[in-house]
Amino acid sequence: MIVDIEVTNLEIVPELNAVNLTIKPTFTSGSTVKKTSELENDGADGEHPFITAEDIPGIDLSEYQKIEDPTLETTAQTIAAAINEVRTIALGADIAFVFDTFAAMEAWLLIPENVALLEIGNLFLIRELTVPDYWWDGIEALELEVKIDLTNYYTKSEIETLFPNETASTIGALIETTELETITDTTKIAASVEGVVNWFSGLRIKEFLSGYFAKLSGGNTFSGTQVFNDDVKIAKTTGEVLKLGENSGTGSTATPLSINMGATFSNTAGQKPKVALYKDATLTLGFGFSLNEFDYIAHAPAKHAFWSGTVRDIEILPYAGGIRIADAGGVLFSQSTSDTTATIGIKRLDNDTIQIYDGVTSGQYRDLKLRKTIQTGILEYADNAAALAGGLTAGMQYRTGDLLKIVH
Amino acid sequence: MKTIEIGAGTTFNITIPLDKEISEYENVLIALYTDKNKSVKFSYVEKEGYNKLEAGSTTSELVGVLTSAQTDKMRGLLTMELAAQEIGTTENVGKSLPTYVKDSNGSIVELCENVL
Repeated sequence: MIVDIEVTNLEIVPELNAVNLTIKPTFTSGSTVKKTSELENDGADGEHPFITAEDIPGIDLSEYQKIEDPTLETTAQTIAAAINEVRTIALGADIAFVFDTFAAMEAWLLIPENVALLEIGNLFLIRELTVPDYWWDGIEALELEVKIDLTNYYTKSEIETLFPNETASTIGALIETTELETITDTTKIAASVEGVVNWFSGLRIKEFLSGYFAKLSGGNTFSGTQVFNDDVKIAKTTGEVLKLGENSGTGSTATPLSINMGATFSNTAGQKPKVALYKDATLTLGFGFSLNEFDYIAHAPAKHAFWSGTVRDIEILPYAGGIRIADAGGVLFSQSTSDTTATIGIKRLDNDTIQIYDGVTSGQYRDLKLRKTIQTGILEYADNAAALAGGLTAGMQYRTGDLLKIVH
Repeated sequence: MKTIEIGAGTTFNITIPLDKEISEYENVLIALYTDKNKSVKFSYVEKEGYNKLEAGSTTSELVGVLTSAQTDKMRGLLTMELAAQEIGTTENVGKSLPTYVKDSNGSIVELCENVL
């Protein structure tokens, strides 16, 4: 059977850079089937040897990639490396040289051939963590200015020194956990933390290790009610040590600042005052209060003085010492603050005279001269006229010798 | 003379419409070659040294592609040859003689290098 082949379409497609070829075979019957090779021109004659896909290997650029071209103005001197270098720059990266250490960078820069490769702005990236990276300014390598200042931070080793029995992460976990109160192993927290090894629970501060307390610097503000379950001690020993309120208010108010000490009181007379103003090894003096009594507790034989500014108005001397009142003052005994007629009083005028308060004429005292009578007995005058001349008045007594007389 | 310029990346797409279903042939082979250098041959059944013909858009159509790497080496007058093999035998049911590829105007096709 003969096959005629005809090209029914030969089309060039420029946009696809392709040629479309359609071959139409026509089998003509009646012909003798020929037992032969499949195709005549199989290359056996050597004139038209067929090519196969294996005849066309891929392009081997391995050797080509090693060829250096000194005319290249890139740092890399081979075409492939130069293309990669340009691509890297096109993607926004600066040319960088990587070194393990700062010393390695310095050694590299000592070689003139290396320096010749550098352009301004090239980076020197150093793998070593504790040194900065550098950049080339055209003359020398300068430290990159953008860096993180970690001088105020502890390093991992420093933290481990502070907390020798625990890693920093464990300490952090302990602080974060809500189970802080369960920490009882004192060895887990180092005493090397300055003076303070405490743990905190809400606003309570408890002593954790003996001898270590929380230290609060000045300026702390505590809002809301604070509860202290034990003594509150103020260590300051001189000057004003306790202030209540801002001390800025004056005048009467419905809510004056006050101290509430509750309703308990001492069960021993003259002892354990609620407000101790003086206390030493044996004595506790001050004020005591109970529901029915206000106690003023002083030390015998102390005097009890009442002052007006620097003037001592009244002092009560120890037992048998009596009461002293300032010379200008007097003692009033009154049944009513508004009814002076119900008041009697007494005061000293001079060595010879005491005065009695005149309740009818308010504020007036009447002399009561007693000294001559008391110190010299009944005064002696020659007669009545002499007694009157001596200051006596009618009704007073005098004597002439042993004879007792009445002034008239 | 029909001149076809072969440039970088040019491919040749070959379409062969058959009279019967592909399945009725044991194999179909075609060779394209020039008078100046190497040529390419195709086979529907995979054979060593042959490019593969594939079924086309219909069950009676075969297609093959000359890659750009293959056409890049083809220069000169383009010649073709076709043979079909009967099922179950090694006998040819039909075989053409090598003949020039001609365009619709009857011009012999010559492949030349695209200098652009």
